[in-house]
Amino acid sequence: MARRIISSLALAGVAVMLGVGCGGNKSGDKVSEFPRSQTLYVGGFQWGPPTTFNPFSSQPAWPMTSNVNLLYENLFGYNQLTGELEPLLGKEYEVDDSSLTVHLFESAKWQDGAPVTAQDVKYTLDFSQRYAASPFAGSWKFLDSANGVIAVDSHTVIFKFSKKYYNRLALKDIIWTTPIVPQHIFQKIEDSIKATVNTKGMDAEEANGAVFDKFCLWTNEVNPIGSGPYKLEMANYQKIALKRFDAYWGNAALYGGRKPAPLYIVHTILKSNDKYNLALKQGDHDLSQDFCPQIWNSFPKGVGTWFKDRPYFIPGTMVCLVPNVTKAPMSDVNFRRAMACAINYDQITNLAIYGYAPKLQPGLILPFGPEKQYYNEEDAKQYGLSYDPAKAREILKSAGYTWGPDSLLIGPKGKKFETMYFTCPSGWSDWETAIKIAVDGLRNVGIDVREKFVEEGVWDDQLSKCMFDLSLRQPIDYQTPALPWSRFDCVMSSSDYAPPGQEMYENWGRYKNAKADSLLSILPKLSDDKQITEAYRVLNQLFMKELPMIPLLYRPWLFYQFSTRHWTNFPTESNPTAPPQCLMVGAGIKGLWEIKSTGK
Amino acid sequence: MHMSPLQKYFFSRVWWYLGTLLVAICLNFILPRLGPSNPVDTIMAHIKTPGLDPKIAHKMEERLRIRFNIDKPLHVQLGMYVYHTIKGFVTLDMDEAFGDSYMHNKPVWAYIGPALPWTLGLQIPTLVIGYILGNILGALAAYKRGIFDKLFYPMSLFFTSVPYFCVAIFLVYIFGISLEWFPAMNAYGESLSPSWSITYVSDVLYHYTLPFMAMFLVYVGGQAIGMRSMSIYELGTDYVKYAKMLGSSEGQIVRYVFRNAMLPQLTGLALALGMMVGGALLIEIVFSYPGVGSLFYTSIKENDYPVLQAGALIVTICVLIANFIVDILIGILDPRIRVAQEGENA
Repeated sequence: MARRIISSLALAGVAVMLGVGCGGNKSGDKVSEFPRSQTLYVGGFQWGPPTTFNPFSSQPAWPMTSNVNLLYENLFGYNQLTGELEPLLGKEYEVDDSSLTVHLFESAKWQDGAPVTAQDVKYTLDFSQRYAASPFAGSWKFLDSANGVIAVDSHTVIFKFSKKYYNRLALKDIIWTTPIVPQHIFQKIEDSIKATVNTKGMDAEEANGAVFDKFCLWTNEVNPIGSGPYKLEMANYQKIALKRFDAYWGNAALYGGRKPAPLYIVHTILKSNDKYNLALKQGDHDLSQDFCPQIWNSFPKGVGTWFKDRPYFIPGTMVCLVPNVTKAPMSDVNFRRAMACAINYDQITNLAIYGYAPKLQPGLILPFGPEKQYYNEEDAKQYGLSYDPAKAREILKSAGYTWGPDSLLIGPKGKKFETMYFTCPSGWSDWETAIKIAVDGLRNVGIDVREKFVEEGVWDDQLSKCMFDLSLRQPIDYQTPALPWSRFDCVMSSSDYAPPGQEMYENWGRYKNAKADSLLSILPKLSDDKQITEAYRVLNQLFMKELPMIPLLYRPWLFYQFSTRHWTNFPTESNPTAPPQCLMVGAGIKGLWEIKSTGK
Repeated sequence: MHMSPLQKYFFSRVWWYLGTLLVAICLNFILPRLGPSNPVDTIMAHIKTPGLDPKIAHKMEERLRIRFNIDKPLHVQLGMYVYHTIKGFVTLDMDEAFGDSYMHNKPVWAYIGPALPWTLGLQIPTLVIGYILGNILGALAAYKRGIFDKLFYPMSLFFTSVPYFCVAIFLVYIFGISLEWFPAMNAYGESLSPSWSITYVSDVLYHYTLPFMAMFLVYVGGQAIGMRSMSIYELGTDYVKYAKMLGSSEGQIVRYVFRNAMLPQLTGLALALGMMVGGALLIEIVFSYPGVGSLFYTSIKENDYPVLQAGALIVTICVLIANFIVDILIGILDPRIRVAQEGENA
C-alpha cells in the first residue's frame, strides 16, 4: 500500500514539473533540439533572464549588447590586436578637419531584404539625439548638434564634428559601438509609442523622456530584424538561441561567399562564474567570457586561451584605486605617492587574477598592444613609482607626517586621521582580493584604512557623488581606438566638474588640473603622429607625478576561453585568424567563419 | 450555530493562518527595503557611464522612482502593495497580485509561473517520499536493532547534521565533476527545449537525480532519527508490554507503535517545513535548477523588489498550506485535540 502511494505521489510530482515545464516556455520556442555538432554554446554575456531585445534600452539582453555584431551590426569592428577599425556595414572611412565620412557597403541588407542605407545610420544617431536618456546619447557631445549626421547619398554618411568638442578619437569610438537599426521598423514603433503617450503639459524634454521610457518597454523579442549573420530563434529565462541567417549580405561582401560555421549559437543563462567554468570544462559550453580561477587546470580537458602560457589573456584595462582628492589626506600629492609605494602590485596580479596579466608598469598607458607606441620607458623609470614600503615611509616623513605610539600615521599638523574605507561591490571576488592586499600594504606603512564591500548600487552612487575615501574602478572598461586618450580623460578631466554631492560619471575623485585639461582638449584635435606622441608623453608624466588615481593591476578586457571538444581552430596567438574578442565583439566576429566542428 | 469540535478546531486554525499570512505579507514588503541600496540605484549603476549628462540621469532617476512608486512614503507603498496582492489573489489575477518586475519590465508572474513547477516538482516528491521512507526506516531500525541499526543510525545522523547545500556540493563534486555520472547542473540538457519527447522527459529525470538525492538524503536521515527514538520510547511503554503479554503478533505490535510514534513526527514535520523549503531554494542555486530559488537569488542581487516579494510570498503560502494540512491531519488523527475542543465547548 505504502509503496503504491509513494510511487504515485512521486509520479504526480514529476508530472507536474514536466507538464508545466513543457507548457511554461514561451511561444517563441521553435526548436526542440539543437544538434550538438552544429551548435556553438557560449556563456558569460548574460547573467539573468533576458530583459529586452531592444538595443536602445539601457541593459538589453545578449546579443543586442552594443558591440556584439551577431544580430545588429556596427559600422566597423574594432580589432584590439591592431587597433584598427575593420569593415562591417561600413566599407571605409576617412577623417578630415571637420568631419568623418563613412562609405557603406552597397550590398548590405537587412534580414527582411531591405537595403541598409545612409538614412538608417542617420536615423539611429538622430534617435539618440532626440532622446537624451538613450544609451548612445553621449555621442552627441562630439557631434554638431545642428546637423551632426548627414546622409549624402544612400551609401555615404558624414558625421560632423562638434565645434566645441572637436574630437576625432571619440568619433572613432562611436562608429564601432553604435548598433545600426532599420529605420523602416523602428520609426513605426517610435511613432506608435509617441501616439500613446500623453504629453500634455510637459515641456519638450520631459515629453521626450516619457516617450523614451515607454520605448524602452518595447521588448523587440518577436523576430527582430537586424543586418547581421544570425537571427533570434528563441529566448526564455534559461537560454537565448540564435540561428544562422544564410542570406547574410556579408558572406559575399566580407568572406568570399563562405558562411559562419555554427548553425546555432546558444547562450545558456547560468548564475555564476563557477557554473560557466564547469560547463566549459565539461564541454557543455564551447566559449565563455568570464573569470575562471586557475584556468590552466582545465587545459587537459581541452580548454584553451589566447596565449598557451601566462598571462593567457591579452590585457586591455586597468583597475585603479580612486582616492577622493577633495578630502585630506588624499588631497596631498605626497600622501598619494606614498600610497603608490605601499602597495604590492605583483601580489595583486598573482592572487587577485591568478597572473592573468603582465607585470604592472607605472603610468596610465598600456605598455603593449595599440597603446605601446605612446609608452615611454625612460619616463616610467624616472617618474614612476613601484612597490617599496621603505620609500613610502620616506616620502611621508619628508612631507611632515609622523607616526603615533600605535604606529598609525599622524598628519603634518599633528592631527590623527579617521579610519578610511576602501570600497568596492561585494561579491566581485578579484576586486575584493585586490583591495585586501592593498589595505595590508597601506596599513603596513601606518595608513589607517579598512576594506568595505557594499552593494553595487551603493558603491556606484558613492562614486558618482564623491562620497567615499578610497574606491576601486576601471576607467574605460573596454578597448577602443580612442585609448589611451579616453582613459586619461576619464581619470584627469575636470571639464564636467561637479562638486562632491553632485554627480559626475568620470574622474570620480574630483581631480582638477588646468594643464591636464588643456592637454586633454588638444590631444584629440591632433593629426600629426609626433605631436600626439609628445602630448601623451607630457600627460603621462603629469599623471605619474600627480597620481590622481593609482592603477593596481591590468586586466583582460574580455576573458576569451574556449573548449575544443566540439569545435576547433579557435583564434589564438599561433592562429590569429581573429582577435580574442569572443567570436562576436567588434572584429572578433571573423572567428565564426574560421572555427570548425569536430563532428561530435 | 453548533459546530462539531473538529469544525471548531478547523476554523480557529484558519483564522490563525490568515493572520500569519497578513503579517508575512507585511514582512515581505518591509524586509527587502531595509537594505542600504534600492532598485533605482542598481539600474542607474549600469546607466551612469562617462558621457551621460548628470542632469539627464537625474530626470531618469526621478521617472524611475515615480514608476516604481518608491517616491511615495513607505506606509503608502505598503498599503498599495497589500491592496494589490489581496485584490490579485481574490480575482485570481496573478499579474495584479505580483506586479511587474523592476528590472525586466514584465509581469513577475511571467517569471515565477514557469519556475514554480520546477520547485514544486523538486520539493513535493522529496518531501513525501522522504517522509514516508524515513519513518518506515526509522521504525524498522528501532525494532530490528542489530547491525542494521548500527549502520543506519550513524549514517542518518551524518546526513541530517550536514546542511542541504553541503550535501549538494558534495554530490556535485563526486558524481557530477569527478565521476561525471550525472549532470552537475541545470534541469535538462543544454541542447534541448521543453517538449513531450522521450528524449526530453528522460533527460529531465536524469538531471533530477542529484538535486533529488541531495534533499532526499538529508530529509530521510532527519525523519528516520526522529522516528527511531520515538519508536524506541514507544516500544518500552506499558501498552506494548501488555500487548506482548496478551500474545499479540509482532506485526500488530509494530502497527500500534508506528501509529503512536507518528503523531510527534507529524508535528515535527510542520515545524521543519519552513527550514526545508529554505534549504531547497539553496539547492536550486547549487544545481542552477530553474526554480523559484534561482530567481530569488538573481532578484536579491538586483534589488528587484516585486520578484523578491512574490518569491517570498509564494514560499510563505506553500509553507502555510503544508502546515495547515499537517495541523488538520493532527486534529483528525489525535483524539486528544478533539477532546480538548469538546472540553472548551462544555
